[in-house]
Amino acid sequence: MPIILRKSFRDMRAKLGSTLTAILALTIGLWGIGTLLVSMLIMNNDLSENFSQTNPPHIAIQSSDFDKLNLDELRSNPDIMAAGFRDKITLRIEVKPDVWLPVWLYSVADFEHLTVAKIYQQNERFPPPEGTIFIERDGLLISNFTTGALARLQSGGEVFETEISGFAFDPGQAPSSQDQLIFAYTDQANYTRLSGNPAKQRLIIRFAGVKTIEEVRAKYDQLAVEFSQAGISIDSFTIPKFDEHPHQFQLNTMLYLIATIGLLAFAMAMVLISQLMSSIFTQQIRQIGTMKAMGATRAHIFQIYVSYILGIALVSIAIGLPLAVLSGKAFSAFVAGIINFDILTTQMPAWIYIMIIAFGLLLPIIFSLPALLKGIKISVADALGDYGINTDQSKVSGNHTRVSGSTTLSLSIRNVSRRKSRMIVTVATMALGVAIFLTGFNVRESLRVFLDNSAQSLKYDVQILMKEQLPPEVAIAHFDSIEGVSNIEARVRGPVQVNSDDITLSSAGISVIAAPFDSIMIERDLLQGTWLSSSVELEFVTNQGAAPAFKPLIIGNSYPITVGGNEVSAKLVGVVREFDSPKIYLDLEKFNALANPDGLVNNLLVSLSDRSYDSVIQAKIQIEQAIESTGMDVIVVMSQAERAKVIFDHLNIILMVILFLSLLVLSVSAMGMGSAMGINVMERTREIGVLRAIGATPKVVIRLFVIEGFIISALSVTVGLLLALPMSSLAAQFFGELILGENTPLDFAFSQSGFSITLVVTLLFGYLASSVPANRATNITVQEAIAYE
Amino acid sequence: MDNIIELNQVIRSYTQGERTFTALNGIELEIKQGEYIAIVGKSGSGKSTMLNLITGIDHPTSGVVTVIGTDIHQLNESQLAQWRGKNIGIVFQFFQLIPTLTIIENILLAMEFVKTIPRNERLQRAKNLLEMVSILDHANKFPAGLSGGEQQRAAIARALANDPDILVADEPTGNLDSATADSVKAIFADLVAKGKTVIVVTHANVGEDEFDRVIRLQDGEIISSSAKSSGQKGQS
Ligand SMILES: Nc1ncnc2c1ncn2[C@@H]1O[C@H](COP(=O)(O)OP(=O)(O)OP(=O)(O)O)[C@@H](O)[C@H]1O
Ligand SMILES: [Mg+2]
Repeated sequence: MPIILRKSFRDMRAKLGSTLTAILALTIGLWGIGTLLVSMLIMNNDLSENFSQTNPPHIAIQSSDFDKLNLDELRSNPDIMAAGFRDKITLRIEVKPDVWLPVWLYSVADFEHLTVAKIYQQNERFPPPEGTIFIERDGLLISNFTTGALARLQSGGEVFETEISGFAFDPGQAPSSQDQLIFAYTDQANYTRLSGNPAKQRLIIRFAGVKTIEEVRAKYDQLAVEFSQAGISIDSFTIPKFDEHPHQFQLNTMLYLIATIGLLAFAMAMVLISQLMSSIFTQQIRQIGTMKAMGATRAHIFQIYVSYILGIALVSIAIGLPLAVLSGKAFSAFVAGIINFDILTTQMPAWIYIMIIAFGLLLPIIFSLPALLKGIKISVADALGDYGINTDQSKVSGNHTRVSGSTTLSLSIRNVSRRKSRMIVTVATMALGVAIFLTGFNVRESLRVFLDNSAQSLKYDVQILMKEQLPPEVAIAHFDSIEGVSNIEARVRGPVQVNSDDITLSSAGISVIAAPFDSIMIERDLLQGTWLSSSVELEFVTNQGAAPAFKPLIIGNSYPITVGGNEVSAKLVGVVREFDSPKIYLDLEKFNALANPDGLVNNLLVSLSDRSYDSVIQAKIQIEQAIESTGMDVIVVMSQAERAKVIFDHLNIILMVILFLSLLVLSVSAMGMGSAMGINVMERTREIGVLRAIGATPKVVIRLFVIEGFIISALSVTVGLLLALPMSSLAAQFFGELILGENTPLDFAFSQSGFSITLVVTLLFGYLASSVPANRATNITVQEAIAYE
Repeated sequence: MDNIIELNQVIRSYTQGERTFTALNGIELEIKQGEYIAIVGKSGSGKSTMLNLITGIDHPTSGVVTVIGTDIHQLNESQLAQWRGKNIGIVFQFFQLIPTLTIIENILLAMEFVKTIPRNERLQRAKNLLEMVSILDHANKFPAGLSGGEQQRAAIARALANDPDILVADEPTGNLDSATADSVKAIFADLVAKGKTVIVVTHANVGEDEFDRVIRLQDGEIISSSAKSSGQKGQS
């Protein structure tokens, strides 16, 4: 081995503590950034890959005239990539005894030759034998379904049975477990038997060569003309978000999170490295001077220390890179399980390895450069001390003549401020770590408060959505004799059309809820304006999901809306925040006058006198029994508790990622602070020897450093806390808009548990990182300490 | 014969805040090839400063330092380092061996920096040098495993690694007992016999007969430069 490399290698061994800390920091940094790169690559690619492999439809068109359509001719249209019938109806299915969930039942014309909205077989029996159904596999997580079992479906007030012949994977759907919604697929004849509706009434199309939702809309408009020429009248059409998985927002949020926090964690690892390197160089200054006196040029010195850094880098890469690939894959698999998609990427592209290796090699050098250059540039005379080659090691600057207990504090303070630039870096790094950690916890708290509030704002316990419309007295009469029911409110839920540029929202994407304006069933979380009033004018309130349909959104403006075939002008009075589909709210009486002359209702909110979980579940079972015995045609019966769980499940995965990343950042920065303090003590070993030689007891010395540690910790927490406040409200705003939609910030919330963890971790690290090395430094003899290099 | 070292009107002063302190004041000095020189004087008289100017470790405030025909303070830092590695061996008072390299590796490192000794001759030469200072047995030990006298001899061997013409030593025997100090002095005398120029700083009461010339410093000025009474060596 060349002598220069040998020196680097021996230095690594000689300063094993610093070397290992540097390796640890770099390994964690590389591991973190590598995990992020790998998982971002996999998730970003695979969710959309899963989704786009299904050939997702750009539009679904509903018509009862499709017997006049020549499907083969339509498919040969160059504008159309693929088309097929896929009828869809919402029914209810019994997932566990007496527990019913909505099911979207699809008819599939030819399971084996799907060209659009493909679904994949999960077991041997494919396609399903006639008269049986397949269930989307994520439904297994929320049901007792087994292959060969009989499923019970409620349809038109009756219960039908049909065999479950297997499971399918449909990457185009939201995960059943999160949406509390089952997806089922069957042949057209069985579809008609179960739904009571004829098949071939819903056509799904994927256009060729469209790149935006506007182009989809334009293609549809052309097609609509052709259809009407062929005598096909269109009942309705739906344009989903353009080529985007329904739960893409969860992935986006996570990718943002891990990218920003991950980069910050990496930056902190780099600060740590640069501190370690600067401490190592400080200790080597005398040697650098000697070597220069022996004839070493700057290039020689550079070579020696760069190979030292590269040695550290290589070890870190060797550990960090394989770990990163493993954990990146594991994290992606975890997320894939939750969002219900398959991991397709098996081989990482070479560039990702190259990138991690390049990071690992270059960044530590770049970050050590300031310290390295300082070491290289120092003159021999300076390096060997003010007295040139006659270096006298006993000339230690010692202006501490008297060390008594009472002066320890002032001495500690003086010491903290003495190494100013390092202290600033240490405090800044730790404060940033604290700030990010607190921000993570605060955003999590904001989300939690939002969930709590949404749960508390609902003053009803069970909601019933019917397919049929009934007079309110009739509907209420089915349930008001159930034990414990204290109040039932009847409302109407139906579609509304708005004139909007927002193609998804305008294509039958918004519901209207018509409820008494003075309803006490829901406490409103108003973002802007007010709730509905008794005014004679037609007023409406939108939730933030539907808000983009009204542009520009100005409280007090009137917008045209179409309900029950009547276009009217309605005045926008407020915007509410809720984690729900796009909706607008109207007063029930005004709605009835406008579009519902018979005053029929389809939506009941039931409140109970005993709101405990058990009582709600009991009441729900009785409601289900009442539905079965009266033959009501119902779509959804959902308790508030279940609804809260649905919302929570949508956000929980994000909360977990926030938590994990915040902890990672805090531990990296605590490590940074710890090692900076360790270095600080180590470098002052000789000073400790002098202090002891002039009469300081080990206890006094240790106290000196522990107080120093606490000062730094306390400073870091304070600065971190101050930083965290603006960061948290920005982050709450950002994530609110990402999760809930535009103009929907989450409210700032302060996480007490986050703050407590911060305090404990920071102070504990501050204590350990100062007391452990101080103990070590006082355990060696005074003589050894004074001679310490 | 030409002077190997010349100091002309050399002044070295330090400015600390308001005050300017002159450590060397108007030094005129000529040293010839093969001379064995002692620089003596009280503590603070400027001995180390003078040595540092000769090796190029320190720069004069004014004046010219010429060593082996080179105005050394015209060289840039790396040129100076290479020049010094080739031409001057320095023995430090506190040895300054690299602690993570063995004794023989310390010598090989000095050769690696300067590269005047062909690679295939280096190991043998390093062994010869250690043999010469009688510590070949310790070649593969680390500096911490050697006594002070042994470390000092290792430092001398390292200073000679690249066969320099000039050897300087700042209080080389200050830390040694008298027997060990004598053996170190014997090595210097031996080197002078082989034609090297050796400059030793000391503030001990020197046996002045050992040296060709004794230069006395006081308050930054040369107060006397006494040559050996009999049989001056290396002078024309
Ligand atoms: N870097 C410096 N800054 C300020 N003054 C200095 C510096 N280096 C040396 N001096 C001063 O210059 C004077 C000469 O110092 P020098 O080290 O040459 O003395 P010395 O003769 O070698 O003494 P000693 O025998 O104690 O080693 C001293 O008074 C010293 O304080
Ligand atoms: Mg001196």
